[in-house]
Amino acid sequence: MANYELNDPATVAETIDGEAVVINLERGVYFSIRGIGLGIWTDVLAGASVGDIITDLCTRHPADAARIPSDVSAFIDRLMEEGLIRSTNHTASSSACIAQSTFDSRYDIPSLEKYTDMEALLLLDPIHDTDDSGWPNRP
Amino acid sequence: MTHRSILPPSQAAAEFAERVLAIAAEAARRAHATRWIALGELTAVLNFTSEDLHRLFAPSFARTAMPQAAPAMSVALWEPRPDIPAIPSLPWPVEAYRACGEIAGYSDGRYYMRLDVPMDALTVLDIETGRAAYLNRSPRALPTYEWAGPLRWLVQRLAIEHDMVFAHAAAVARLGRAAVIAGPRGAGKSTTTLACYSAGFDYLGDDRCLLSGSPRRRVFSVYSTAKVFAGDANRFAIADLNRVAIQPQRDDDGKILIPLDLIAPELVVGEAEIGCILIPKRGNSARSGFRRGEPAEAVRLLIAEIVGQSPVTAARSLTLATRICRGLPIFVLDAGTDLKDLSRAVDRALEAS
Repeated sequence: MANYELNDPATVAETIDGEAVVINLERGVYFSIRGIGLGIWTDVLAGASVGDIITDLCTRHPADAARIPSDVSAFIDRLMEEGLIRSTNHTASSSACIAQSTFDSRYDIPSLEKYTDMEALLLLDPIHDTDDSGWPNRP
Repeated sequence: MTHRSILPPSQAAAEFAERVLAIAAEAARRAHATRWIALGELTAVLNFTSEDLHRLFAPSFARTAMPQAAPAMSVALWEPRPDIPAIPSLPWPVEAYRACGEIAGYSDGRYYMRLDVPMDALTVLDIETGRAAYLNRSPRALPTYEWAGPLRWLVQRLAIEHDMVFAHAAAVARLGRAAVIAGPRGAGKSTTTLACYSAGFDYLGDDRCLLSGSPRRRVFSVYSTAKVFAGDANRFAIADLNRVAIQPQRDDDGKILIPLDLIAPELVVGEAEIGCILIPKRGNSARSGFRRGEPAEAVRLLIAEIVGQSPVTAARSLTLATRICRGLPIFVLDAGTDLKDLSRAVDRALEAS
């Protein structure tokens, strides 16, 4: 199965106190990732394949094993749609990439929380006209 | 200065920047006023050739610093006039403008350039030498909020080179320990700050402050003015507020500017250790309180404007803000309408930190 990596420099990310803050700079959107989603996010960035992440999650949460493959795939698809990760040919020794502690919590559907309050700052009216000195005409 | 993020500049960027900086040096030689300011532990010198820019910006830089032989930044501020050469035509295409005027290909290396279209201002900084230019074509049209936070782009760009975050936050302090107040516009930063100032807290800023995480977590004041809606000014028990208030020429957001150093200069301080971060949420009840907040929300709020307005420094700002917030007490401040009780809640939050 595919491997992914952070879609930098368009996207930047940090983790603090059990929550990832992820920002797509081109679209002006913040995201928050917690719980199981944070574990998947951490493992994806560490180079784990989707297959290995699913296998590990199913081992840790056997009661939810039936839904885990589709949940993880949907989450990865969402990360791709939002421009937060991109596929890569790089592969790593997968088992070493799984972050043990982040999967110890109760299983919940991995999700992205989206904040769009920064969009207005980024999505300004494009500049069309300039004067003779190249200076943009003021709106 | 550190050179961590410096990349080889493009030839066009270097040529344009050097020509503008040469004109800036000429403008600085004609300066009618000079002001030395502290930016954290750095010192910068502002050479005002424009009397209008001096009149509008100087009140917000009331805290002066001692002159130094080698300031971290030396800024010439001028407006077009016959005895100063005109700057060359802008060399970049309209497609190069990023959010808020940062210019792709001209802002990513040794030189940092930004054309703030609404403010009609060009900013150029040579990160390696600290030489800087601020050319404003129509200073008299600047809105009040620009007077309250002048040269933001230069401060922000310089700060990140020295591992500081120019945060979108207010800050007040007691006994050298500060509550940094983070929130979007309208969240209550200024109200909380002025409520605390009127209760005798030290004042560091009502909208923007410099944060440093090393070696200790500290907050530094940059601007000494506060903004408040004209209709709200009488809510605060601050003697002389209306006497010293600067009324806007062009009333964009309805706020007046208060030079707090003219009221109680001893309360306008330069720095404090960060005790906690508060995230104000407006409530309808009179009483105020606080509860545990999320560190990630604090990080988002501190850097929201930086990230939106300067993609060049976004990754570094996020990393620094995360480092500063990690392990700090973060509280949601449920801000009530009784301003005395609001300041008491800030006091209690600091005591609990």
